[in-house]
Amino acid sequence: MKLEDAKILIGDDSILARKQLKDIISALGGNNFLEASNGQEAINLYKENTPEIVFLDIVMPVKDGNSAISEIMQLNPDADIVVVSSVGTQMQLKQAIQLGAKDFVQKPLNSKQIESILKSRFEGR
Amino acid sequence: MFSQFFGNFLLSKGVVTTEQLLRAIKEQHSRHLKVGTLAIHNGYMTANEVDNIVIRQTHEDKRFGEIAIEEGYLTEDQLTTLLQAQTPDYLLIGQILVDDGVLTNSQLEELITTYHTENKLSELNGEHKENLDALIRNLMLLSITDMPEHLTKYLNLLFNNLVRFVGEDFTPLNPRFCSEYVTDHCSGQVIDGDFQIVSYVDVDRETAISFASRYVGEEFSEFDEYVQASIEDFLNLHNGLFNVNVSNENSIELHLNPPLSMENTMLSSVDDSILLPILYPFGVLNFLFKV
Repeated sequence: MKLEDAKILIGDDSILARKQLKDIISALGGNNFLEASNGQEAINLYKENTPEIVFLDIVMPVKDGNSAISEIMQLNPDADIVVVSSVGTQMQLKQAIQLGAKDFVQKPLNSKQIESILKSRFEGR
Repeated sequence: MFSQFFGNFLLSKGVVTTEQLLRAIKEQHSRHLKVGTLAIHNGYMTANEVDNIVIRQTHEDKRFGEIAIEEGYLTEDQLTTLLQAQTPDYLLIGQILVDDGVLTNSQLEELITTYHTENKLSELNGEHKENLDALIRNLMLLSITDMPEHLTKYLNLLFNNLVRFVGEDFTPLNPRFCSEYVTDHCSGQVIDGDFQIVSYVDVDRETAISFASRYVGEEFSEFDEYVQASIEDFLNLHNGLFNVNVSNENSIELHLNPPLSMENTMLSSVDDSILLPILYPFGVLNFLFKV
C-alpha cells in the first residue's frame, strides 16, 4: 500500500506533538490523518475508520495509551500500533509490546526513525 | 553549563545588573577569549600585568603574547599551553563584562576565585556532573537546606534539557519558597510513585511566544494553541526523560500524570513550593516545584 493511501491515526494530548508528527509524515507523502487527543477518542476513531497505522502517546487524559492499545487490539488483533512517548523506560516499553504495540519511539521525535517505521510498511511517493 | 551559574553568582553579588549580564550573554557567540583573560585564569599572570600589556598595545602594534614574552610574564611554552587550553565557558562572559567596562580584570580575577571557593569546584576546566550537582545544591541551599537526592537529579536534567531544547543562554535566578502563586500561562504535571514531584512552568504571553519559537524551531508571532502547547510539551518531555533516567539508574518506576494547562489561576496548594525563575534574553520561565 502507498503511504498516501494509508489512514493514519495519531493519538496524543499535545496538539503540538500531533502537528510535529503530521509534518514529518506529510513530508514523506502521507496525507490522510485522524487525530485523537486522548485514549478514548483514539479507540472511537479506530472503531469507525480502521486506520492502517496508529501512533499513540502513553500519558494521556481520560484513557491512557496502554488502555487504548488493549482495547484496539481486542477490536483488531492485527492492528499496527506504534507508541510515541517521552517515558521510554524498559518497563513501559515491555508493557506496550506485550499489549500488542509493534514499535516504540522515544520523544523528542526523530524524523529518521518515523521514516524508517513508515518505509518498512508502506511504499513512498 | 557553568556560565549559567556564574551569571547567577554575579547577580547575587550585585556586581552586574540583569541588563549588563543579558548583553554579555547575547554577545558571547561573536567573541573569542583573549590570551590575557586565559593567562589570569591559568594563574600565569596577574590582572595588573595584563592591564600593563593592554596599555602598551595602545601605542605598539604587537600581539599580546609577543609583549608578554618580552616582558617575561609568559614563557613560549606557557603561551602555547594557553592557546591550546580548554576553558570553562563562563570565562568569556567575564571577559565581555570587562570589555564593556562593567568589571575590571582585577575584579574578575577575584570573583572567579570566590566563585570556585564558594562552589567547591574541583576540576576547574571540566564540566563534570559532580560540579553541576554542587552548583545546583549551592543554588538551592538558598531555599532548602536538606535537598533530596532526586531533586538534584531532577534539576540537573532540567538545566541540561533547557540547554538542549531551548538554548544555553539562560541564568537561573535565586530560588525562593512560595506560599501562594497566581499563574499567567502555566502548565503543571505530577510525577508520583516512590516519591512525588509536582512541577509547574509559568510564563507571560510574550515569553511563551519566544519560547515556542525556540522550542519548536518555527517562528511564532502570536499566542495560539501551538504556543500554549509548547510549554506543556516541554514539561512533559522533561518529566518523561526524568522518569527514564530514574528507571535506568535506580530501577524505580514512577508514574507520570497527564500535564494540565491553566491561566490566571491561583495555585492554592503550593505551600512549601520552590519558585525557580530562569532568565532568558526573551523573558523569564518560572518553574515551581513541590517535592
